[in-house]
Amino acid sequence: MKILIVEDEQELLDLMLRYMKREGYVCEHATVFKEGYKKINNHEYDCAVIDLNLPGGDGLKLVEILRKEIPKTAIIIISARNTLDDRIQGLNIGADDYLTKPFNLSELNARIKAILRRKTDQKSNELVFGNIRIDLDERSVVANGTTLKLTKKEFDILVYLARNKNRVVTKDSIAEYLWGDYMDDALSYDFIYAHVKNLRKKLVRNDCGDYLKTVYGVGYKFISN
Amino acid sequence: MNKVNIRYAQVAAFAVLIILICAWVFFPNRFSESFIIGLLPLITLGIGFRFITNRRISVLRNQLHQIIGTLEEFDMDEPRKVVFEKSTYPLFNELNENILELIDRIRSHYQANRQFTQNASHELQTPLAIIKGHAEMLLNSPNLKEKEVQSLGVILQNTTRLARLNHALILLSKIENKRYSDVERVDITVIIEEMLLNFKDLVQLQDITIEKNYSNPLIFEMSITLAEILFANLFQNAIRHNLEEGFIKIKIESRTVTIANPGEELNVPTDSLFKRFKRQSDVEESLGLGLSIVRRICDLYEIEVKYVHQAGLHRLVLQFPKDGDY
Repeated sequence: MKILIVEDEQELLDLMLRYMKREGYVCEHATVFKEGYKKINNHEYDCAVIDLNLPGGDGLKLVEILRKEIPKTAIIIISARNTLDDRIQGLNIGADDYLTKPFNLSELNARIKAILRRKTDQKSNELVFGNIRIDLDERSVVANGTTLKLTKKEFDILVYLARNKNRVVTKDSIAEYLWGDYMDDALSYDFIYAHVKNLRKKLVRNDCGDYLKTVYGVGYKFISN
Repeated sequence: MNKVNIRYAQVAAFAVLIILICAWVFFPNRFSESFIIGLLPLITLGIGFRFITNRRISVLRNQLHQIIGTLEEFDMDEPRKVVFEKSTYPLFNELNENILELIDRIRSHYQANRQFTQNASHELQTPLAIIKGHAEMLLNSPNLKEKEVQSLGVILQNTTRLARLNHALILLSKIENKRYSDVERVDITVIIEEMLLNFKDLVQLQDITIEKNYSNPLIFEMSITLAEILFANLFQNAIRHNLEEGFIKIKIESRTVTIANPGEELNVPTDSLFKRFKRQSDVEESLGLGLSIVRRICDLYEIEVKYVHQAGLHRLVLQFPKDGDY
């Protein structure tokens, strides 16, 4: 999988590159509009992460061109602009997702994976970890041969953690992933805590206890070797 | 003194004059003759002078009222230019010029202040993203000690808090700058239902019961985004300041929406509740901006918002004005 990241803020760009490389993607980058434009025209990418405020031009223009040239590329806009208008405009022009700064890298990662899954014709829509199989189309989880009864939110949390496997995922980022802007920190922490507890109980009952690790006070980690 | 009074004074003075002249013409031998003749010019002069003074005062008052009227209409948020009518008194013109200058100065400071809040908040997003990213990367480096993980957790949590605070400030300044254009006829019950759905998880988690009582539909012309933000904030509060196994009562009657929930009385004075950064100190993590966002949105649409704590209930009442359009 090949990813292009267009972002003018060097520090942020480096972070995203590091994170995505660790995930096993082949990454290229551009820091100004012209450079991004050139890369889009000369190469093919599975996914492009594009910042809107670029020196030398509007990132929206890149999205537009890219969508026209290679329709199947997954496009995610990252922007400091957070009005509904900006969002709608970005999605109308052809972006698949819109992420507002400051975002969590784990969230960017999960969203890239979700879009790539939708866009590319992967034969299997399953995430498999040891004796857990998560079917993303059916939204079902089979643990040691038994289908688990999960609530919608429990399933979403499990998928989010699994997509960021072997990494600490913070409570904040889970809250933001599940509810977006509307949620209150203190309230959502309780909620996430309760759900992860239930989720773990259901896994343990089917001898899949070791997957979810609590990082006390910080978040959770899905462990898989 | 108004115009009618002046007219009366005029008529009365004229009548007295006529009577005196008649007396002098028809009874010239009377002893008062000389007295009257002597007094006549004086009286006429006095009345005339009074008349002129009264007239001047009334013109002065009128013009002063005009100035006050113009100032009363002045709205800091309206870009409309303030225009004073030209006065016949140079002193008033000078006063007006000074007021105009003052208004210009205040306005430009006000704009600069707003612009600053907006720009500053925007510029903060990227550095926040960088801090967040680095902390996240560190959190996943091998061989971290428990304490270091905890510290990173605190950094991340507070960065998120800052980011949210920042979002709220941007939102406030956007409302103040009237940057919401998605105005339409909003069905308030639909918005309430949508928001309740959003908070379903949290409501269930705390075993809160929702009691709804809608007597009539309530349609109001406003930005749909702001309507959502308004009720999201109100429900967030109703959940946060609720009791375990409590309830939220939502009532719509005529053009009034009441949201009530059980909870301890707040230790913050009611009237300062809608100000920025006021908050109930024992509830952690609340940003203290929720109610001031509520207030801003309500002000924008002239929705009257009231909070009372009564019989163990927090009660928030929104009084929607009559919609002019239908």
